[in-house]
Amino acid sequence: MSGPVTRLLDNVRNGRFQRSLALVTAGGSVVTAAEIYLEHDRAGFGNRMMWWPVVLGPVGAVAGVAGACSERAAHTLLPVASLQGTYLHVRGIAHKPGGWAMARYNIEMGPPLFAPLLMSMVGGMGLVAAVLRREA
Amino acid sequence: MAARPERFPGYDVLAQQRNWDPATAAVVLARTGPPKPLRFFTPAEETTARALLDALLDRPEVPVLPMIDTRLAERETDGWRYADMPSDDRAWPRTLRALDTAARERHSAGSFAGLTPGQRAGLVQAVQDLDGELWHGMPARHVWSLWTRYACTAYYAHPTAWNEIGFGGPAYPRGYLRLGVGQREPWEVRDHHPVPPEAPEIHPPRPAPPATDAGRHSRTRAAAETLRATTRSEREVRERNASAWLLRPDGSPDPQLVQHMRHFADTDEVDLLIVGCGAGGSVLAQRMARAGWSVVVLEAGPFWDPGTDWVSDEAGSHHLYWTEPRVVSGTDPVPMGANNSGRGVGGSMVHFAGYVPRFHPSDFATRSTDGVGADWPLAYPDLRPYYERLERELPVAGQYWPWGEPHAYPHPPHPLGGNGEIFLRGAAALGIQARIGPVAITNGRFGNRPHCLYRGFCLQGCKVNAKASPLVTHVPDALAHGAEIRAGAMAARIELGPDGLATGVRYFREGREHLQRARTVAVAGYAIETPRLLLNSANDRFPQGLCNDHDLVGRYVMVQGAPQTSGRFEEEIRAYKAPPPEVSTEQYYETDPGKPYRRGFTIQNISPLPITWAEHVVAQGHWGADLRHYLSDYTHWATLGAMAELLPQAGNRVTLADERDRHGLPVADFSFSQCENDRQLVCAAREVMEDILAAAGASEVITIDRYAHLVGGCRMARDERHGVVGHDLRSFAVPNLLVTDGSVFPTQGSANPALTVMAVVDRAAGLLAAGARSGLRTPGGPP
Repeated sequence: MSGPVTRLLDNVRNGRFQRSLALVTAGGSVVTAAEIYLEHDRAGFGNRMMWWPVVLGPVGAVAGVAGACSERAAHTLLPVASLQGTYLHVRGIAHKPGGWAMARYNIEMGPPLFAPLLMSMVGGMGLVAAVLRREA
Repeated sequence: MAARPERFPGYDVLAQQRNWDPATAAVVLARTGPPKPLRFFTPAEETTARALLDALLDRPEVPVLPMIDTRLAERETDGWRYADMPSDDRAWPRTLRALDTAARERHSAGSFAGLTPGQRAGLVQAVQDLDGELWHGMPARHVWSLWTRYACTAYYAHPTAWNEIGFGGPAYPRGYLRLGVGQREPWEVRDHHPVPPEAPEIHPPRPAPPATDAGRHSRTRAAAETLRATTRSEREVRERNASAWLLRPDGSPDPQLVQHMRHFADTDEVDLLIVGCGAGGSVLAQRMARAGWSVVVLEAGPFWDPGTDWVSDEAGSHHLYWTEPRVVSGTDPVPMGANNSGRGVGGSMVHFAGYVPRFHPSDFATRSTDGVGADWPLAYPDLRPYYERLERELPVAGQYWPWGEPHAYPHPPHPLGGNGEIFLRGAAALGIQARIGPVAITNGRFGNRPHCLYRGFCLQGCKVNAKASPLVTHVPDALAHGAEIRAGAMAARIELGPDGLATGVRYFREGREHLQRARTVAVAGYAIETPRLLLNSANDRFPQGLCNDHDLVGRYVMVQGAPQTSGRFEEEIRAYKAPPPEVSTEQYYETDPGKPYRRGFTIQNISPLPITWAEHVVAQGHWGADLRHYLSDYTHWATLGAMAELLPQAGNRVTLADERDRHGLPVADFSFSQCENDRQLVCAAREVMEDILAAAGASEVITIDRYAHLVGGCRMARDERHGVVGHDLRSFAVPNLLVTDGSVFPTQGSANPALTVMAVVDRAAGLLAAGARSGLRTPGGPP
């Protein structure tokens, strides 16, 4: 009973959990994409770019399952994607009547300000997985 | 005055004024400044009026007479009058003199003001008690309506009154964060003395009557259709109608489009001249301009700028309604105004609630299936494609719709406020199916139109431009394709040539009479102004009015019976937050064979703002301290409204009155009386609404009768003996004259008419454009 658990913990302590983290990343990507779909659907997909994170979710899943995500692409695309998302959400808040002058109200009612950064943490897990050691 | 406990201690709505837009702030703050000197009332009338208002409103803390005086002096009245009453500016002095006379007769006092408060109350109560009978030569009921309408508007427009009842006040650009039962904004104050008014015994809710349309909704099909509707590309919409993308980035109409609008001369013979720029006229203008026709639209009202012309305030929105003189008569006269009239570019859709349900397939053949009403010369499948494409152009937000022909909507349903939650709670307790939507309010960005703010002022014009009106959904594209919209142009008569074809329309603009020439004329002035224009266009060929050979013009005008039921809850509902249209049910839409009446009704959320709510409470017979007490309980009430399909009757008609308007044109007299079926249907709707609120936990329910919407008057039919126009909206009598608005409806269903008006006109526009390819002025006829 204690065998597999001990081995798992031992692997994690020694940074050997690339495969499991890649799988977690895959699962997380699907969940994240679904959540983004629901949130963006609530907002009527008013901007075509709102489809990108939804489409990219399954891509992340495939990459995660393959466990062979391209390290270079991930390094560049991920920060760009999350910054772009944050920029679009900031612009969305500014477009609401009253804009930033009524920040207290518009940040809460506008597009969620920090969501793109939060969602990109799943991608961050993928990055970490890329540099980990494989399980023993 | 008995000490009234302060229910919302420390609440000051004026503290929010930095979050109000300048136009609204100007209107509201003007009321808190020094009162304007009186211009209308004489000193004697003033004394009596003050005493009357003190009685009606239990000595209001703020001056209300100056506001009434200003409205009467500046003729900012509702325009309409009861046939048995003089116009408001003459009725007020007359009723005040009558009060003094009554004081002399009853108490041998010099004047009403000289009486003791108790004696004054007695006289006021006597007027209310007379109800339908005459009081000094005027029907007491209509005198009561005059007094209370003006008194409630003046008092409940004041920020002091809003503090007293906990109302949130103007809500733009800031909207609301916390929707739902028991929810409060960070700046709102909770009710510290939630004492319910003395509650009459409330009967336990009866079991709900069986559904007449149970609704079909396979869950998988609903999910698949919803997914398809919400993921379809907007490119196709934009290619057909780019209005939402022609707005400025903040969603407001682009003044450049108006400045660079094409202008035609009166002597240009334009391809199409449309009278009226509402739901019907705008859709026709946009479609025909797209088809390459030269189009001019004559609109009596102004070209609105939502940012500056509209305010987030009830009393300040009077100018959105048609306030030219009209007479209402019959045994059940229909008051005009917010519920059924519009003015300016966008028409009454500027201030409609936003509900856009489709008609049911059964609506098009009520004569064949139920033996009442009339059959349409078209059927549901003829309109289906137009419903579908208009729902995407508006666009419509709502849950999958199981009733009538089940269908999905392009935008997801909006979140609910307290009012909607109560409806769902009550409906669930009774086993009644209810759904959220369908509303023509963007849920998310659409083109340049922003997301709804949930500010609750849909009925005062949507300053956000999230709620659809032709001003943002069809007019921009029409202008971009070369149509001219001539605002401030009041059509006077349609001219006919010797060949019996319409040659143009005579109209008044800036005090001058003009004649715009046209190859085709379309009238879209709605159920009262369209018949009036045709009747005013009588000539040698049509001595009884244009197209009126068979005495059908102006007949079969319909309104929906719209009783309104409110329930009192322990929790705070704060129904003014969130848009008024939230939840509705159509499960009683169809005829129940087990009932003595035919056809059915729908139930929807409505959320009266303070003035409307005060009129509701007054209609229940409450006034004085009683009224103030009920009103201070405003945050605790949830409201439902029904729409019952009243049947078309030949005697419910628009005729010309002896009175003339400022252009010298005879005004319309709209006579309306209910039939037995109508009364039974309204009663049934009322019972279901009261049961829903009782089942949701209301401790008291009150219902008032009112009307909503207005259709018919130039009905469409298969031939000229049964209608004025055919299925293509072309009149039978004058081949190049169309009627393109709600007045063509032979029956009204119990759905809100806006979407169907647009769909019927969209279909006719397609036929008109297709016929034009032959190059003939009258397709199929001689050139």
